Amino acid sequence: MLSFSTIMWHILRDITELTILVTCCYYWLRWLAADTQKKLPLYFYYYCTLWAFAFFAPLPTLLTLLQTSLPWILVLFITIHQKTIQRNLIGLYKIRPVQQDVSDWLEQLLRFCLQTNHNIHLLIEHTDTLDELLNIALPMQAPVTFTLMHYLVKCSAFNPEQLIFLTSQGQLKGINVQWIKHLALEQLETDILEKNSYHLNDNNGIFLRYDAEKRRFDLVLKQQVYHALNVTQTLQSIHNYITHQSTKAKKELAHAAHREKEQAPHA
Amino acid sequence: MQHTEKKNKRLTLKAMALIIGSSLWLALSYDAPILLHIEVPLSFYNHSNALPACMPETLTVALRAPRKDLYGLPYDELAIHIDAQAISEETHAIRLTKDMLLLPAQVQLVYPTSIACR
Repeated sequence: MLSFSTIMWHILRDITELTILVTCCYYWLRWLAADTQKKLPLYFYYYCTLWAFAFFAPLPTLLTLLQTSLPWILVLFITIHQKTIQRNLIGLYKIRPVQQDVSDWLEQLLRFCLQTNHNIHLLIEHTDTLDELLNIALPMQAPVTFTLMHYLVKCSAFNPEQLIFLTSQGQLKGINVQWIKHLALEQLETDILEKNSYHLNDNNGIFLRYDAEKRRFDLVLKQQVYHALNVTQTLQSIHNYITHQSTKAKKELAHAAHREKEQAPHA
Repeated sequence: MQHTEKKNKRLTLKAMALIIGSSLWLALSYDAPILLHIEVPLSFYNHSNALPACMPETLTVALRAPRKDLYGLPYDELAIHIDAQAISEETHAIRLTKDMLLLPAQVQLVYPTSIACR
């Protein structure tokens, strides 16, 4: 008969083994659960269930496969874990940043203009880049919102005599912006509208000036100058211009692609 | 609310760890051999005269076998069966084999390999 001490020793040994295994499992599962992007514990439960099924069924081939693949499965879990991925600066798939909806940026911008006491000079870049022609004192990258414009104007670094540079997609690119000095332009620098019209000659940028005293807008669109527009007119003009130019640019691109396709067989 | 959710999540993890850990332990220990020390009595057969006085009454043996085979042994009936005819006045030690314990094939006798006369 087994002695009491032998039985106790065996029980104690089994309990120790069990405790170590269960503790390891718990910390492993806790680590897996720390991944907020993927349901790793759930995948691990699936794997364990498959293992149990293969063991009790019994399915010896599957069990052998699962046993031999165990180290690889664990390595796979460790590799795809969020923390490992973050440490290695890689991603399983591209995580896109949260996009702020700025579809009404123009409305917000004009609303801001109407509520400010400053004269505002805005330069809107459309499909043609203007970066090369400008000297941007304070470069920025932020969606245009009413609040942002409000804070910018309040900022002591802001110079209302200089341009606020933004894109037609509603992204602010900089403040205190000036055109790079051009020799041929020195004689022309009489009126700000004329000056901007000259600069916007070879591109599809938009210049908008808000006169805080008259509460009216002056607009330069493709060398044409529009004076004293109200909000509705300004909004409509800019919106139409942007939409038209975008469609035109898309058509031109499609046409160019088509022409290239046609020329390719001849070549 | 968030605290309760977190507590529940921890509790689930603990329960799952207990299930997985126990299953893993069972699966691994099912066929793994373990060593068991047990005190068994000596039983003499074929004896007409008095038993040899030099022999101990009990002996601690070490058995090795998978857990399922070892725990299934009838420990109350376990004994070392020794043929008394094989023991003479000049015998100093008896070679001990697993057949003397009538052990199943899966169970191995690790030690002792012999019983010495004291």
